[in-house]
Amino acid sequence: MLNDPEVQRAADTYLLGLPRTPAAGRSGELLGRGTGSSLEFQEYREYVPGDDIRHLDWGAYARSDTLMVRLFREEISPKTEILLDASRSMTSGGDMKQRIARQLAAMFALLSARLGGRPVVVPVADGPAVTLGLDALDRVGSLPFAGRANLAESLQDHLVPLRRQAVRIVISDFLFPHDPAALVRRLAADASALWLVQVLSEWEAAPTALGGRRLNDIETDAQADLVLDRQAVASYLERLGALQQELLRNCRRAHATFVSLVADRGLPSLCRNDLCAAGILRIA
Amino acid sequence: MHFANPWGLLALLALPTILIIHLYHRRFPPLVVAGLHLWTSETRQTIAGRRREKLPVTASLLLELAAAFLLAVVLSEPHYAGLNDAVHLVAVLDSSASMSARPTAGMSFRDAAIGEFEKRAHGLPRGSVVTIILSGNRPVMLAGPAVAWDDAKPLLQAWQPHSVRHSFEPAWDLGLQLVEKSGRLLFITDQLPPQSQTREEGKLAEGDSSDGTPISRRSVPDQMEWVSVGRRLDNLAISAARWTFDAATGKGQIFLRVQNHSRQPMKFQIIGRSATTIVFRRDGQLTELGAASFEAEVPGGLGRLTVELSAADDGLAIDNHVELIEPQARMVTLAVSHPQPDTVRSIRRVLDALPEVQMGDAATARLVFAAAGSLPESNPVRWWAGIGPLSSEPAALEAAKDLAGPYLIDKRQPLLEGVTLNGVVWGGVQPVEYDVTPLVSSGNLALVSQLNGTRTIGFVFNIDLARSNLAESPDWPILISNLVELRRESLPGLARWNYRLGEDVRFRLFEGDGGKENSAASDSLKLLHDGKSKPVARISLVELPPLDETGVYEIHDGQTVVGRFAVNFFDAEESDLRNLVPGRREASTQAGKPSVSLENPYSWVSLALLLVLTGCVFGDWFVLKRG
Repeated sequence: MLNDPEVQRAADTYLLGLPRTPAAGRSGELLGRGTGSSLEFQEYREYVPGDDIRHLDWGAYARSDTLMVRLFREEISPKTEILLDASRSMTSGGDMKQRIARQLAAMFALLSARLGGRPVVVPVADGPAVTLGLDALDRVGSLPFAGRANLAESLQDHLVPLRRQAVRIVISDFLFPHDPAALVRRLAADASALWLVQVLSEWEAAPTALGGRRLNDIETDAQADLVLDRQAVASYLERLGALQQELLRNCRRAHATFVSLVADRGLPSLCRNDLCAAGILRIA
Repeated sequence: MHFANPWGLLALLALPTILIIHLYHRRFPPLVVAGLHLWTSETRQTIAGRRREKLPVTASLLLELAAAFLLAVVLSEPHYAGLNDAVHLVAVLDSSASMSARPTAGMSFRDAAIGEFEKRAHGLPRGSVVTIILSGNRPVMLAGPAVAWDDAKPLLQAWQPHSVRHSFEPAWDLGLQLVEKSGRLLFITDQLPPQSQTREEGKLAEGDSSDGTPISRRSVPDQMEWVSVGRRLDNLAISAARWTFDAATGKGQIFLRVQNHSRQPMKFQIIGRSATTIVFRRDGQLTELGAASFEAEVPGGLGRLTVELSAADDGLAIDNHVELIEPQARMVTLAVSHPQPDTVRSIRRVLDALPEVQMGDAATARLVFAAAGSLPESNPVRWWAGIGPLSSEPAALEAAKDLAGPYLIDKRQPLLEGVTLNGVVWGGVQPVEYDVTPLVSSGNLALVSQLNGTRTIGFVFNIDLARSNLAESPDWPILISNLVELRRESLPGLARWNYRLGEDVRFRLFEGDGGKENSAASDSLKLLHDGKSKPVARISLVELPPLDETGVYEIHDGQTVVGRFAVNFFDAEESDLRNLVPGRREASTQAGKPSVSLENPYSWVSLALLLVLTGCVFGDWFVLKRG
């Protein structure tokens, strides 16, 4: 996926819209939340034993006869953790949904790597999740998307290793039964930043009336006969909107970002319009 | 629009069935979704009891309804009057007597023919018309031309085939004239056509059909469909019946001949009845294809006799029944008044040997033999035969010539039938001064001649029997007999009383012009048979056309019965049913149409509907599969 032209073009065009004060990370180009060795002055405090005497402000000592230490912002490189929902639901509605999911995962990983971070992609499927580093990112292109367990169940079962203080990007359709508040709270825990990217197919986002259909859930194999008329579609859209609003509300509460994408619009359009509008990307 | 097969509309019952199936047993096409809970969170609510739901209008439902409707339409074979030209079906029905044959078990050939034609008529497009022609010596148009089947059907039910053997070609030709360009010609008979083909293709060969009827193979029209409904049957028939009456004894003689047309020996019984009285009864047995004759003496005065032949497994009934009318004596009163005794003797010698003649005086006689020297008075009832010499003058007698021939005889004259005059010396011939038409002449001398310019029928014999050997020759009794029989035939009434079917019947109503009384008679002359009356022209010699029904006929002059005769069926070839077989020969070409034609445009409509129907079925399958 790293060689995908659209991914490469997007990586050249955009930067990750990371917050100004990432929680943690290795020494890098971004200012960390803690004190560090950057040139950007943060504050003074009194000297305690063990502080680097190189940061003593001798001028202040002369003026106040108190040993004061100058604190500087630390410069870090963010840890980026990309959770990619690899369940079967990502294959519904055609190939665009999973294709966009792969492209987004690769793009986010590339953008994070260019910031000096150590991006990892974690496909969430059945069983314990594996972590794919940048060097193994090509495996994202061959993910089977065959899992039957949904993201909420995998998190609940601790099958997904969440790294502390990482910039956590979750790519999923979120079309599984779950409690948005609990899900967001779980994902936001110990994360320096959380982005929820919902990928839907065009029909999932705006279904049409198809008449009588036997609906088969792609993950649970549950079936239900339903007449997909305008009323049924309206009910669906109402429930989908409620789900998205609930995810959005909980994300705001956790200082996270939620964005819903329609995969059929293509990666360039999604980056330019939706992701930039949500602040996840910004023009380089 | 109408439906050729209305039962096909029962397929419309599939429509509510499909609706019910879709209402209670929905076969929705599958649709794979992610997040089923977003779709069905409400519908999963369980409600006690059956919930009445709105019928979902799906593509599957519409396609299945369309398929069921099209299937019903195809099965019911709809016909649109505007889409098809009406057909003119011209049917020639074999009206020969063999068509009335009936197997021991089963319907008669006539009924089978009607059934065959009825089946064809029902299959015709709407607005079609039919014409029914009965074959015979003179084809009869039973129904038509070009009438609706409903109008023709009652007429067809009254059809009774009983004609003697005849040619079918006049009926075929009439049918070909009527069938024109767009019609169909159908011939229903009880025999197969000749083996070779058509007028145009076949060689000139008088082929025998299966029953021996000479049908020219070339005479069978190309565009005529030939259907045979006959089958091999055994039959016993009265092939001849005659009733003679001896006026001298006052007794009659019945002669009968019975023919076995079977391939097995047959036992039979013949019963002759006069009213309800059995006059004679005969039992017998005939070998295969055998024949036997019977004679029975019956008393005079019976008037009418019915003869019935009965046998087991007899195929044809019409030839088992004979009606006979007792012959009547037609006495001719004669008078001979000639001055020469030898001449009188010569005439009387012949007259005495003739039957049914009586001598009378010249005033009341119907035929007078007199001297040729004086002409008779004008009287159309009294015939006159003048025997020479024409003049008794010595000079004339001396000048008379004796001739030894040759003689020129007008053979067209019934009077001279059988007369040769071989070796006859015709003596005493004198010049004829009368206005006559020579019948026998020699040179410019008229020897026998007929008088002209008078109402009296008169013949002049320019001969002196004393100088001739004519009276001793065989020609003399022939001449006299012919003359007497001519006179007898001219008597009023019937000359015969028993006829064959199809025979001409002549009846003399009156002699000569009948006088003013007859011509002014107000009562009409009628021919009565089987309760039916037919007017007959009132003329001296009534010639009835060939009668096509058996039975007893009566001629009524007003309220008076002036004649009664019987017509019977005697036709050995029609009675022979051994070679009748069923079969069919399709028309080789359509009348007036190109060889390739669209016989039934509805077949194309049906094909199109079937294609649409198939499309609906596959569409439904595709919709269900696609989900």
